[in-house]
Amino acid sequence: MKQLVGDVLLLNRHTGEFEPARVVREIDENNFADFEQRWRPTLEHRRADFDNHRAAAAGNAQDSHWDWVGKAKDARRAMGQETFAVECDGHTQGLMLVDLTRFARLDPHMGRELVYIELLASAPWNRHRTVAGPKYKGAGRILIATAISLSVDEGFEGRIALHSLTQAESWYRDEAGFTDVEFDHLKKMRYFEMTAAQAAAFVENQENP
Amino acid sequence: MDRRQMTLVLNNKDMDLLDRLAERRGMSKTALVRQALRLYQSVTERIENGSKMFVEQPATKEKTELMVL
Repeated sequence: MKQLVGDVLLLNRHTGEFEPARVVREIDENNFADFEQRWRPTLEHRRADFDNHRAAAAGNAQDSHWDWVGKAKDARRAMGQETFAVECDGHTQGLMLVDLTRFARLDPHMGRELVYIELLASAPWNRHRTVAGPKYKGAGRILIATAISLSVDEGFEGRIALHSLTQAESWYRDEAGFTDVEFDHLKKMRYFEMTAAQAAAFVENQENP
Repeated sequence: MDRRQMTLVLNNKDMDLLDRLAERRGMSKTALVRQALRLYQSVTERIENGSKMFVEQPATKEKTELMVL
């Protein structure tokens, strides 16, 4: 059942004002409907502008095939998976699926538990290169902070990790403060990890930008 | 988050193991049991779906199949 994690603020780029938003755990049918009826058509339309998956990075639409509904339903049965959403203005502004059964690769935490971010996406109308005037800023950052908070709650000291789509690599490395660990040949994506200290710095920066 | 409580009865040997593991992993005993359940569910579901799980020795690349009863 969907649960409130906390109240947050999202910056509306159109008005320059912060708007009340909320983070919820275990996404539900309303989020599924948002994805199917609002996210997917925009993403698929943008994806069609490009010949192949690699080129779609230029339109920030490489995730147009992600099956959020199927993954979220699977996550309901799995103790090791959780889904989260940021909701604002009555709609889903960001989605995240995490896996709690992975282990760190980076020294000095190699082999320790972490929260692995399996999927993370902002609504297409919030993305540069997908739409001309993206609306809300901050959904992705809030969801990363949520993953860190979950990691702390579970006794993992804030450690998190993810594989990045090409267009987001520099943001994770240079803005969010992840360590760019390696190119993962199995996933064909770069693998990033955040240590406990990096997670603490991210949260500090989030609270005192 | 909704939570329910249960009492876990362990013998001394098992409790000592739980204490040591929790200390080694830097986790509370509750967090450790929750994590153990997550991993157990993940492993058993994969095996029930027909997957095989192996442990590989990094030096020799020798693989041992993990059997779950």
